[in-house]
Amino acid sequence: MRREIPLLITFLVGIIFLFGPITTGNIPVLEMSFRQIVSTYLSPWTTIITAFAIGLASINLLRLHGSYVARKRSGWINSAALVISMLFFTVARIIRELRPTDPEVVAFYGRIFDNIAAPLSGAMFAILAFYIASASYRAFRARSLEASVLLVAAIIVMLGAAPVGALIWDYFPSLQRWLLAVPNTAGQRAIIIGAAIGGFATSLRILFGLERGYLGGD
Amino acid sequence: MNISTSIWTWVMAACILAIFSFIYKENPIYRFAEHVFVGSTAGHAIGMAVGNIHRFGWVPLTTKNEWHFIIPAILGLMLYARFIKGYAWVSRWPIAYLVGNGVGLSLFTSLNSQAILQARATMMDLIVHDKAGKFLLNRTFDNFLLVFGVLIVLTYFIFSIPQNGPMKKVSQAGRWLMMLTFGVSFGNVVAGRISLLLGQISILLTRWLGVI
Repeated sequence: MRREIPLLITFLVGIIFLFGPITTGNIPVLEMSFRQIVSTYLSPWTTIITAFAIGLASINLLRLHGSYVARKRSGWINSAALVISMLFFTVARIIRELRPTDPEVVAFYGRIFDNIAAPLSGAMFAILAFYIASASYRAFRARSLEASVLLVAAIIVMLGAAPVGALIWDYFPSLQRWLLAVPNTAGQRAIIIGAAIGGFATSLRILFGLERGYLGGD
Repeated sequence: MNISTSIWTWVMAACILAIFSFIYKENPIYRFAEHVFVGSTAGHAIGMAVGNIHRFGWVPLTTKNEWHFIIPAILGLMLYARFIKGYAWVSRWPIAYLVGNGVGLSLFTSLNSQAILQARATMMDLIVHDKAGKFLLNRTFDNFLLVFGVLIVLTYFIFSIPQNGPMKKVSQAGRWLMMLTFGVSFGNVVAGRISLLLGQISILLTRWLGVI
């Protein structure tokens, strides 16, 4: 009961989602096609269940950082900042969602999002350039032929994308385009095909209940 | 120089500079900004989730009497059984639903768009001529590289045959092509991050300091 019903749910939902795009015509008793069941029922249901799952994750985050604040653990001020900013953005966004036509509400949320969340996110991803630079320094120290191939390809792509590349050598931009269009496409395509076959096999195992890791322990 | 007088622009600049302070070294200001970043992103996601429940569940249920929306609401609430001792297993039902959804979608898409369509796109003319019948060396070379490149990288992933003799050499060539692919991807990522960095610096110089 504790394992069989979830396995049955996975199988039924998986089959309906699988048959949605590949079958036509109505199911005799239901007088609906698989595609209609997916678009009318299952897809909106997924949106709602996923939304509840985000709530679950946020409760975990609140519990963890709430306990840091309550126990005044080292760095608890940062945890307090996280909790306060999370609650503030949650409330602001909910009001924005519930009153989408109120111009003041929309403008206020736009202001806090554009001036707090967006710059923090943009700057956070921008400094990843420095992380990558230090990681590449370590990676490129491995003086093998394969590491050299990686290094040369990366340098050509970076120089080809930057205006300075064309100033150093006229052919850098066209060489970059060729690398992207031909050898890169071949490599990516083979990796995608391999991953797809692996994903297909894993999905089949899950569908038929051979892979049950997602159910967790007893 | 035309420094902004807007409080919001100063807040934005403070956020960017707090994160950029990490370039010097890890410091309390950076850690504070990092936590605010996580909190604001999580809060935004939670608000969106509540909006989705309202828009796609509550409104159709209350205004159009679409009672079937009670099912995902119950399944969603069942997720929270994880917090009740002895009833954590109840949360498996909604998880099973989401896994079934993912599996059903990926079974078709992985096979169709990622395997079949990619394989079909690789089935191209090896010898290329233009409309006048003239042999095109560049295109022919590119097509050879594309077709045999895909095959040699796939050879690297064949684990059911021992990779000895010529098979080993082919798979080694596949490895080099993969390293080249990773190099191209790496170069693209670095170029993308640097363009983000320049974008942030440009925002500081234009909107905040007004020097550009």
